[in-house]
Amino acid sequence: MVQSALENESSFNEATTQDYIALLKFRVMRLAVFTAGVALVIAPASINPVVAIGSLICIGIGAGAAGALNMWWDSDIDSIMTRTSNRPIPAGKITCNQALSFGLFLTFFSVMFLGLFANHLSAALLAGTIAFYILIYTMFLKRRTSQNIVIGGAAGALPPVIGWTVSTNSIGFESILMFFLIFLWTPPHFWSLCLMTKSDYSKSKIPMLTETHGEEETKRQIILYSLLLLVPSLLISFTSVGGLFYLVSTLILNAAFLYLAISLGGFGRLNKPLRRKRERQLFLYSIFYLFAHFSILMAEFLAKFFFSFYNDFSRVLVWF
Amino acid sequence: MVLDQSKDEFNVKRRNRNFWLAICLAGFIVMIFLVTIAKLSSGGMIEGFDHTLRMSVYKE
Repeated sequence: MVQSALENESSFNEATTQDYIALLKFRVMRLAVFTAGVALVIAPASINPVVAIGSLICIGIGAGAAGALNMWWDSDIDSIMTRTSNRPIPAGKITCNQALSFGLFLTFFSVMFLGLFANHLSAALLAGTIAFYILIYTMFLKRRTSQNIVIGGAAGALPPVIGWTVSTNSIGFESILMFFLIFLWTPPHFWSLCLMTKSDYSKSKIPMLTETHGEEETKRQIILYSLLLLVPSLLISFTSVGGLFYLVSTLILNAAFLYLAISLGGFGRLNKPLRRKRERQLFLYSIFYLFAHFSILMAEFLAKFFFSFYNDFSRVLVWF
Repeated sequence: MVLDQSKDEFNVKRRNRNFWLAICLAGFIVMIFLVTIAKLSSGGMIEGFDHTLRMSVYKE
């Protein structure tokens, strides 16, 4: 009897390190750290590199905590959806209570240490981001409205603002524009994913736009948001963190985004394999789009930095 | 036989998890130490109560 009980997997189902790492939603965490890191570096204030790295670790842990708490609350729908069914909780590797305590511990840890490392404004923003993601998006919006990811996208858009405040201890206009860039990017990114995994969302009864308003309306909305994306990205070009290189790059990146969005919905009726291909193209391109935008901001900053360094250096040489 | 195998698997998983937990704790200690040194080096915002008279608290 004891032997048969032990043969049952659940008897000795001890969670591994990888299971706990999976709770952190590593991809989302990576995006949060990257965007916050770029904002922190390009902000017009100097910060000790050690404090900057420590603060970025705290932001990353905070993003991971939000992921763990999201998986705790959504474990019922995760088990229904094919895409999420192998996550640690539905797979039976971690219990709901373990995920909840892990998420809460990491939340307190990240907020407290960000406050100690950087400043109280950054810590308050991180706490607000996690609270918004869990209480407003996960617990309230996600299962109630088709605008869930439109409003909920604010949580994912806040990391550059936090990165900026870590460096400057204030919310700058540039960081607000970066916030709007990610905020307006989130809907087309997620809706292209929804179009790819449509059956998953219908099974779990989450009111995504593809379910409530249909594919055609979703494609129209994707085109609308890809047009709106032009506004913050163009405005960033004319701020202290932008420049000519960023302006030209953003025009190309936005034109490609718009082309892919239109080709998904327009140009006549597409057959199923071609439609799937276009949806996948748009989804992958949307990921590249955001990474490219923030990489270009970083490149613009480094170019300005080295140019001013070269100018100072040549002045010193002339003096000698 | 099955009991031993399950016990071994359980122990391996737990040992592996404890090892990474130790690494995280060590990393955390190093991080706290480095940030403390960095903050003390820059010094600007640190002015704790040190039981000595400080000119900055007296008005001229």
